[in-house]
Formats: sequence, C-alpha cells, structure tokens
Amino acid sequence: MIEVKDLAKNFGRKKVLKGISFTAEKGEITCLMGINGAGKTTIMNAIMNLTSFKSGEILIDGEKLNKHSYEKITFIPDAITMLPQMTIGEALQFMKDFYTSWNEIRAKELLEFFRLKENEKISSLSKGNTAKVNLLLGLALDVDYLLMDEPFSGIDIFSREQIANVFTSHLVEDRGVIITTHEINDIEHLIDKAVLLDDGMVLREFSTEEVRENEGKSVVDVMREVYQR
Amino acid sequence: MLRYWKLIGIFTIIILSVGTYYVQAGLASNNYPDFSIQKISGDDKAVEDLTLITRYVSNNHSYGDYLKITREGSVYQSELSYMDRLTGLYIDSEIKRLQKDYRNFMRGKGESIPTFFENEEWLVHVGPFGIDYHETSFEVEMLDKNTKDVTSFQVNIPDKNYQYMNIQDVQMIQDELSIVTRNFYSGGPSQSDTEEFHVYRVDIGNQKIISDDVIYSNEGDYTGSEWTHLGEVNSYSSIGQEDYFVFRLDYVEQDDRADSSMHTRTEYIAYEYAANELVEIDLPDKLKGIENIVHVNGSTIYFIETKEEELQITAYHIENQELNTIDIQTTEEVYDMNYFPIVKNGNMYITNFGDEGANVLVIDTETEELLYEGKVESTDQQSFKDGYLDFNQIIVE
Amino acid sequence: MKNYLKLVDFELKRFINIYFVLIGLTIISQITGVILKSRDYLERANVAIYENSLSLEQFISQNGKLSIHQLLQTGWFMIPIALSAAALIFYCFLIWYRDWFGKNTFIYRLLMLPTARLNVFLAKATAIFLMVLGLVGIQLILLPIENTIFKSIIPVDLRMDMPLNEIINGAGYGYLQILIPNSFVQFLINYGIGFMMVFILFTSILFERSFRIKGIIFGIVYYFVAVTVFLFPIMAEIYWGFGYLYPSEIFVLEIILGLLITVFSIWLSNYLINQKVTV
Repeated sequence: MIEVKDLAKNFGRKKVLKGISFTAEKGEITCLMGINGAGKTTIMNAIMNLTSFKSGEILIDGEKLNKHSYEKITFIPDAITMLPQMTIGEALQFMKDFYTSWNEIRAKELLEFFRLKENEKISSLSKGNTAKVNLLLGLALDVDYLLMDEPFSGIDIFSREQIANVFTSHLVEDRGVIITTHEINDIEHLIDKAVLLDDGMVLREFSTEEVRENEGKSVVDVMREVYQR
Repeated sequence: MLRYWKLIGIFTIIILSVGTYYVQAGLASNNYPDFSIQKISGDDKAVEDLTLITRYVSNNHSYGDYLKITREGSVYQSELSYMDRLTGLYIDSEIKRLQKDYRNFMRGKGESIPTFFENEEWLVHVGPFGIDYHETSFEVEMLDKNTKDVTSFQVNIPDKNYQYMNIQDVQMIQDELSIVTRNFYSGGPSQSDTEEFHVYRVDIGNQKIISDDVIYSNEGDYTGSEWTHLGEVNSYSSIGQEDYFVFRLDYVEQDDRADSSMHTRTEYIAYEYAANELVEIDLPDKLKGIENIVHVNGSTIYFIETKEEELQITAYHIENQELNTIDIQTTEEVYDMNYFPIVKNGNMYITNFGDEGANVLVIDTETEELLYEGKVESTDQQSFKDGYLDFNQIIVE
Repeated sequence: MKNYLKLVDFELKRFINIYFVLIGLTIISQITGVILKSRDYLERANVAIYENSLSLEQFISQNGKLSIHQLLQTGWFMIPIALSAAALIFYCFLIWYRDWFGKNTFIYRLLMLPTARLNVFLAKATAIFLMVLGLVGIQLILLPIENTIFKSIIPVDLRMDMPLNEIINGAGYGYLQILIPNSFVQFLINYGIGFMMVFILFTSILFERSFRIKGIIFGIVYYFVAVTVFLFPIMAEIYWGFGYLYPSEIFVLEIILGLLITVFSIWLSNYLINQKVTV
C-alpha cells in the first residue's frame, strides 16, 4: 500500500499542495484526477522522492522510500527518460544493467506487442512509439507499484488503444497502479479508485465500484458533482 | 569488460603516461651540474663545516636554481623534498636557526638580520625593518632564553619628519637597547634629499626612549658639485654582540661634461656602542677606493683586494688605529673583486667568484696563515661555460 | 561500486565524441605547428646561408638556435589546450544541466536508479577528472613525439635539444608547468585543488537545482565562501604581510582545509541530491 499523509508543498509563496492524503492499494488502479495545475505531477514526484516537500509523510508498504525502493516502485513520467541518441536496445541494456527487477522476457514480449524494433534510435521515434518505449521501460520491471503520469496525452488514437489494452492485460495484474489524467474517458472503466484534486487539495476519494453500485453513478457523474459545485 | 574499453583506455593512458613521467623524473636527478669544493692545498678539516649557498644560472635557458655546495658535493633546491623546499635555501642560515630554536617567538618577525639581536640570555627583535612616515613607533619584543618569557612593548619614535627609515642594527648594552637606523628625508623642491644615521637608545626598565642621536647627517656634505651617500658596512654580518657600527660615506662628484656623476672616494666612520660616540677611522688613500671589499669583525675592519694578482688583506684595528697587511700566496690565480668574506672562530673564509670558477680560501686571522685553498669544481667541464654561479651566502656551522 | 563504475563509463560515453574531437584537434594542431614552424625556421636558414651567404655561425648568432620552447609558445600549441580546458569547464555545467533540459528528461532515470544517488554525483565528477587527466596524459605522450618530429626536421647544428622535463619546465608562460608540474607532490596539489573546485561547483549547481532562483544565490554564495575559506590562510599572509605562519604550517593547513572543504562539499551534495533536488 502507498500511503500519502498530509502532504504539503510550496513553490515560493504559492501553496501547491495543501495537505494531501490518500492511499493506493496493491492490485488496484488508482487515478489522480484534476485539471492541469492541480498538483498531480508534483504528488507523483514527491512519492518517488524527485522533489522535496514541506511536510507530510509518504510510506510504501509502511516504509519510507529509499534507494532499494526503486526496485519495487517505478514511475513513468510523461516524457521518455532515456537519452535521444540511444537506440531502444541500448535503453533496454541500460535498464538491465542497473535494475535487478528488470524482466528481460517481459521486455521482449512488450517490444513485440508494441511492434518496436531494438535498433531504432529513440530520437527518430514517433510520439506514439516514444510513449510506448517509455511505458515499456516501466512495465518490464518486476515492481509492485507503477506510477504513470498522463500516459495518454498527445498520442494518436491507435496508440491509445494499445496502451489502454495494457491495463487489462497480465502486465498490470497484481500491481498497484497510480495514474494521473485529465481525460477520464479512456480509462473510466479500468480504474478501481479515483482521487479528485483541485487547488492542491483532495476534494473526494472514492471507490468506483462502490459509487456505481450504491449510488448508481459513473466516475464522470461524481466529477461533475464535485467540480461544478 | 570489453564494454568498458573507453573507461579502461583513458585510465590506462593516465596511469602509464603520468606514472612514467614522474617515475622518470624521480629517478633522474635534474640536468644541472653538480659542484663540490676541492682542495688545492692545506687541511681539508678547515672546510669541514663550510657550506656555500649559491644559485646556478644557465646562460642558454635563462633558468636558475639555488644549490648548496660542500666538500662532498651539491644539492639543488629542486632536489629537496617538497616540505624542505617550502623554506627557501636562500634564507639566511642564522634566521633559519632562530626559527628552528624559537619557533613561536620568530613568528611574523620577518627575515631581516639587522632587526635581531642575540646574546646568551636574550633574543631581541625590533621592528618593523622598514618604517614609513605614518608609523610612529618601534615594536620591541624580547625573549628571555632561560625563562622563555617574552616582554613586548612599543616605544614612540621622537623624530617625526622622516620619509622612511630602515633598521640597521640592534644592540643590547646592560639595560639599554640601541637601535641604529638610517633615515631618509625628502628635501623639498629646491633642496637635496638627506640621509641620516640615528641611534635610538631605549631604557628597557621603563620602556621609554632615552635619546635620539643623529650620528651622521649628510646634509652638510652637499657642496653643489659633490655630495655623499651613506652606506652600512656591518648591519647584516651578525645578530650577536658588536662593539661598533661601521658605516661608509661614498663621495660622489658631478661630472658636468659627461652629465653624470662618479664615485671619487669612500670614508669610513665607526660608532662605538658602549661609549655612544663616533670614532674616526684614518685610512691611507689606497684604502679609500670605493670598490674595496670590506668586512667588520669585532673591532677589526678587513679590506680585501687583489694586488699584483695576489690576494691582499689589510686589517685595521679601530681601538688603536693600527694597520697590518697580510699577503696571501695562492696557487691558483684569484679573480679580481667578488670576494665574499666571513670571519668565524678566528678564521676568515673567503669565496672568490669569477667567470671561470670560484676559489675558496681559509685564513687564520691570528697567525695570518693560509690554512686551506680550494676551488669549486664541477662534475661537468662545461658548467662554467654554460652558466655561472651567483653567490648567496657562506655558512660555517 | 559496480553501479558507480557503470555510471562513470556511461558518463564518459555521453561526451566521448566531443572528447575525441578535442584530442584529435590537439594532436593535429600541435603536430602541424611543429612541422610548419620548424620548416619556417629551416627556410630562413637556407635563405640566409645559401642566398645571403651567411655562415652557419653568423646565422645562429643572429637568429639563435631553434628550441622546442619556441614552438610551444605558438597558438598551434596553446589554442587547442585552452580550447580543451574551456570545453571541460563548460562541460562541468553541461554534465548536470543536460539531464534536466533537453527533450528527454534523463534526470528522472538517474534519480530513480536503485543505487545511492551519491554514485551519480561521484560518477559525474570522476568522468570530468578522467577526461582532464586523460588530456594531460595525451599531452605527455604527444610531447616526445613532437620532439622527435622537431629533431627530424631541424639539423643538430641548428637546434637545442633537451629532455622532456626541461621541455615542460621551460615552456613559455609556464602553462605546461601548471598542467604538468615538476614534482609529483605538486601534481597532486594542483589537481587536488582543481578537483576540489569541481566538487564545490557541483554543490553550487545542486543548490540551484534544488532551490532554483533562490538556489542560484545559495550556489554563488557557497562557491565564494568555500573558495575564500580555502584561500584565507594564503590571503591573510599576503594581506597582513609578515609571515605569522611558517610556509610548512600554511602548507599543512591548506591540505587540511582542502580536504575538509572537499569532504563537506560531497556531504552537502549528498544531502541535496537525496533530500532537496527537484526534477
């Protein structure tokens, strides 16, 4: 379980996070939602210790993040995290060199699934393919938790479908996933939990299944309720 | 491993090239010639404790390095360990000894011999060596060698008009300090500049100036066509007890035709510390040449010159105004001028440098005998053609 | 340790193309310089002796013998060295900023490696050190080769020969003496100070990367404070004159200060990169 407790952060005098708390379970897909600037990416960065925060606490399976955690939890930001001059093969080799949790078989499987070639240079890839390589680098790690920042932004429709398929496949099974998006349509049916953010605060945290069963509402219904109030 | 060839390659190049260079540099001594003092006649014992500090300057590379030369050979400063090199070879050996023995007392006191005085009980420093017009006092520090107590105090300089002054000697006579200075006064637009020797006497007990005596002023020497320059003779020779402060007056005459000036003669005057008065020195004309090499030891002034290709030493005794001349017969020809004498333990050590080499002579001042004659020789015949030795100091341990 | 070495190798590879260009440029420029300048001199000698019928001695007394020092003072030698130095100093900044700016934010990957982040810091520093020393090594190999070329062009009567250490020590403006000092201790001191400065600079950059605008001020202040603390004993001696400390004491003090500043800089960098740095 990833626990975010009372997370607060300022940029200069501006408070970007004003005491965020939520949890994300293993085996579930948790979606952070909110308009741009709501602090979604900052929360992701904070979980991965890629930015400092003023106060609060983040625990992963009850522990603070340390260097070994990166074998257990990984983050796929919205831009690719490899150098443009590298080929896909070199990028995979880099991952293999440093991560013991790197799963070579799964990497090959994903290459095939996304129809990518190892000798292609990252700088020469299309936007969609770049996003797929980026996704691959995270998915081929045998990690318990996977954080994804806007995996669908700026990508063509076919690539979106392919990526969306990943979420229903065995590649994501059993893992805890935190995903951010401002376009809910693509994944509404996939997510288990939604955290609605605005202005650095959690407006509502709910289980999509409960809302559907008890209140008969879709995620979009709840969002409309919360944001248009 | 093959993947890391760039890392391994760069690393190997560094280790091999840098390693080879410094191992080689460490094994090979430098390329400057070695020197040693070689006997021509006399007793080797006389130069057992003798060290010459010189600088070898090579003509062609315009590069030089300090070295010390003994009977056994020579060591260049660049061959010393890094730590030893930090204290230059050229620093006066007396100062080095004091810095070693009285490390804390010697801190921040500079390296000017004239500012120190040492006897059995005391080590005294009066500073700073150079005092300019906006400084108004002497800093006196006295170390009691037995108790290690340091007394320090300031005394105000009564004279206020000097442009600047240099300390020429410090002496301790019972409970008084005598500080000899050479003071410079700028003369204003229509007057000539003036130099004066002063003696400031300080009462150690109440830490006050007793007197400021002008022992010589060259103000009156200016006649329009002739004037004098003042020069110290024995400021630098010792930090110990001295009876006299000897100074010289170099007479300069205006040569209108050539629009230049020239030295005409030199006179010497001694100041006797104990009596606090000047003693006249009456010399024959032949010793009034300005080119004479002069050395003072105790109450004797030695004049060293070359006479008919032989070395001649004239000793003048200040107390009784007696003169005696010692002719030294050397096997090797001496080089005119460039004599550097010191007197230690009753012996006079003279080094005599010339273009083609250097002579080393030891003379017993009592018996007037030549105890030792030798020369500085090089392992390399070319040494004195490719460069020259620049004399710095003689050390007799 | 293994991750550290992998990272060093990786950092080297990222700059190796430009690095090889620098090496190539140095080799080509210096050797061209030796050949051109030597030929130039030889040509003058030929004109003087065969056309103006000067004797060899007269020519030498007028022009002097040619020594490799005269070649070392030309732009052919100094410009590639200055260029390499400038490039490496510039790369001290680039080695960090290229991970943040640039289309692909590689810093995410570096910070998320399952290894101590200090390794990333040390690997970048090591890569710089290796490249600096590598160029020094190349220069040390190059000098004897250049000397051989020089000897093969200029006849023995017209040239002045000298061993490698004299070539280095006597070179004009003393620039080679700073890069390759006479004694190994001095070599360690020069590069020790250089590497300390790199660590201080890296810490300053991390200040900026952690606190951005405010961090620029912290970084600059840190840099100047660190350098001032290091130079303080020497500056104090120069400013107050009179040698209160003996040279050997200043030397020991500087070594201690240098080590302390280096260790402190690494410690501070470790803190910043672990706790404060922001992608």
